[in-house]
Amino acid sequence: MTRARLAARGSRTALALCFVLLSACSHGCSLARRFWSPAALPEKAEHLIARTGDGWDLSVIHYKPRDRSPGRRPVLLVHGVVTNERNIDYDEKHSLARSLAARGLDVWALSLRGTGESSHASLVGGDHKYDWDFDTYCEEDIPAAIAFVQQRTGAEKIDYVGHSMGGMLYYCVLARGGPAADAIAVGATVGSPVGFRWGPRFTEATQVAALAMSKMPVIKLDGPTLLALPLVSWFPEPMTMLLYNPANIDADIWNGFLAVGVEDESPRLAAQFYRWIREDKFTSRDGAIDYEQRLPATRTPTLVMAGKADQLGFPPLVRRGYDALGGEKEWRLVGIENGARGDYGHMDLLLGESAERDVFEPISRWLAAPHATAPIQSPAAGAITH
Amino acid sequence: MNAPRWVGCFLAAMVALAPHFSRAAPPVDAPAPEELKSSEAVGGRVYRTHIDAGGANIALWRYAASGDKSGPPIFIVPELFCSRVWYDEFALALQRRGREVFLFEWRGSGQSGAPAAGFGDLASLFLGDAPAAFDAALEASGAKSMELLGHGLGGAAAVMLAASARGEHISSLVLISVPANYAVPNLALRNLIAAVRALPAPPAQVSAASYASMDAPLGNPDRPGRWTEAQAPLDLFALLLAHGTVLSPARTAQLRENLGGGTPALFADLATWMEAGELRLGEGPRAPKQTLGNAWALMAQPALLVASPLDNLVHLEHALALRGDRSRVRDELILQRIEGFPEDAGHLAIQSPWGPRVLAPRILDWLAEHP
Repeated sequence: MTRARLAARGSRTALALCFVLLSACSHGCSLARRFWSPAALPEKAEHLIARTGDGWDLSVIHYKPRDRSPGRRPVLLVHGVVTNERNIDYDEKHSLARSLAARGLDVWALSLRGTGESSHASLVGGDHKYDWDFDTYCEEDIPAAIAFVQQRTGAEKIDYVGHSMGGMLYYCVLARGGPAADAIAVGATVGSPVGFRWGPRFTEATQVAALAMSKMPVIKLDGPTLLALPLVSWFPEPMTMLLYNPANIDADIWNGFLAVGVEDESPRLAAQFYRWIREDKFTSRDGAIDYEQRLPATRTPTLVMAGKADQLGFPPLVRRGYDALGGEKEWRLVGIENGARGDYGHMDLLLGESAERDVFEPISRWLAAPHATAPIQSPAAGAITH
Repeated sequence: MNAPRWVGCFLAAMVALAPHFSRAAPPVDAPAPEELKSSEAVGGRVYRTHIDAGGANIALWRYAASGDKSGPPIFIVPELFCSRVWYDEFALALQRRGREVFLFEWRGSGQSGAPAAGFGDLASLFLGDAPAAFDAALEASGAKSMELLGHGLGGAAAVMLAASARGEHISSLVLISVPANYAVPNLALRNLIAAVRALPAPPAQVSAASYASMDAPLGNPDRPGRWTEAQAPLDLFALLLAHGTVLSPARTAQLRENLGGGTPALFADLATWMEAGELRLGEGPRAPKQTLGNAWALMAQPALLVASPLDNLVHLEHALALRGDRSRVRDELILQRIEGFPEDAGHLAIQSPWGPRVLAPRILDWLAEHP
């Protein structure tokens, strides 16, 4: 055998060994994270489980209000894609959930299937597979969570706040109609696009990435993210370009969030995203329902927030949702020009050092404001029944 | 490699790269019309002439192509109140790449004078200054058509030119931060409009620089109208124009000093447009046709949209409002890092150091593909 062939074989063997080692480390990190003790929940919070119609257990964390405001409806918080409930409750200071509870709201934070403390899927064995898409969340998870909150509180109506894909799910539920949509009195979306045409290069890149991910058995992110943490700390530019504005987020908070807040995803979800990006249409899995086109018929009062420097929730694409909505609505662009302490990126909207003032407080005000089509619950009806 | 060879390579590299790093010295203003000035630093020549536009003495600059001309001339329609100094480096960058460039100054800005009686309104500028400068440039170039590059409201004027009878002499448009529709984007601009509305009726000349130095009311709930904490107070120049663009203090001062002016009638027209969301020129029976919306609908030339994510004057959704209309908008450039631009840009991307170095070549590439 020639030296060149030997060298080539050696390189291939070394690459294969590296791959196996990295995979083992990645899975090790994933497993280790399952036993990672998250930051303690506040004293008045409780961890509950809602069951979906198709048999998944969803983690719902209930943040009891510090001083309950009479007549206020319970509010359901829903996180975005490839993350979990930690996105809306990282710690005492960076927590939409605790902020709203401190303002007297009865807060319920959901982890969608396959994320956080909810049931997880597995490739081999187990009860659940990586076989869900966006419509599954919309048809199963959100209705189950809403019904769960209604049942636990006795409230006929609830409020809804969604970040990123959590807000897209809000639009989807409204567009589809039915009991879940009827149950939402007032909503707010934060960095939630309704279109999928960013700049030309980024659109092409996301399309290629979504297509590639849709072909995988699982979109494995939690372990690799943990593995890559040292690299991310050393070279944050790609993430700052895409996910957050470093002027608004403390580097330690961001790295800590990456350790606990990133989740694996289903390739079917990527497939649905791929079709949206290819067609620039926000549609159901079979393409039969155009959610954006149905929004003008909705009447639920909605606050739509966008980050000025958000590359994912690109303001023109978030604005499309606002423009399409029927009923009472308010548009807020979170940037210096409107008095915010910075131009907000995608994750700054929840994890930013000034998000309490620039994002959470306006959401709280919107939910508390009287809205024409949102009947105020009587204190008795809104009382917690457990 | 030994030390002398290192030094030799280093010096050779510096010589080779010097043109890329040197800042081209702006050409000296000519004391009289038609006087030729040479600008050795860029290897090209810059001419100035003055033309009459309804009594206004409009300065028109010609950046003669260096070497062989490549492509039709480029006619720059500047942002309102912005003089040649704002566009000089960008024009020189185009010139260096073999393009002939024309640039004019709106009445009341730079070396353009206002009419002795009656400065006029927005229609005087859009239907007076811009067409007069365009005609003079076309004649001077001897070309059959030109490519238009409009910035901000200058881009709106460019769209109106393209939709007019002169459109047959316009082959394509590059529209940088040009709103296809508009809504007042922030409290700062609302307050600016209120200040404009409060102007006294007699038409005294008003400096745009005086508005630019007004405090930016940031809607801070803690202290309404004021920036708080350790951050420096922002004025309207910093918030509406310079935001998102890295400019040296010297460049910032230069741009501030070279803002022109107008009259209350002109500022009132701008305020009306911003509030109504539709730019309408003049009154009377012809007025309905003289709207920016109609001009967009009539425009038949291919256009490149250029938009900046941190633009606080023209938001992305306004600059990209027609992005889906393939009959007119062929391509778009979004000036952000994720799209390969060196910064997430604001309204002054052209005036930033990246304008001549990065934006100009990309625009020329696009123009070359859309002759």
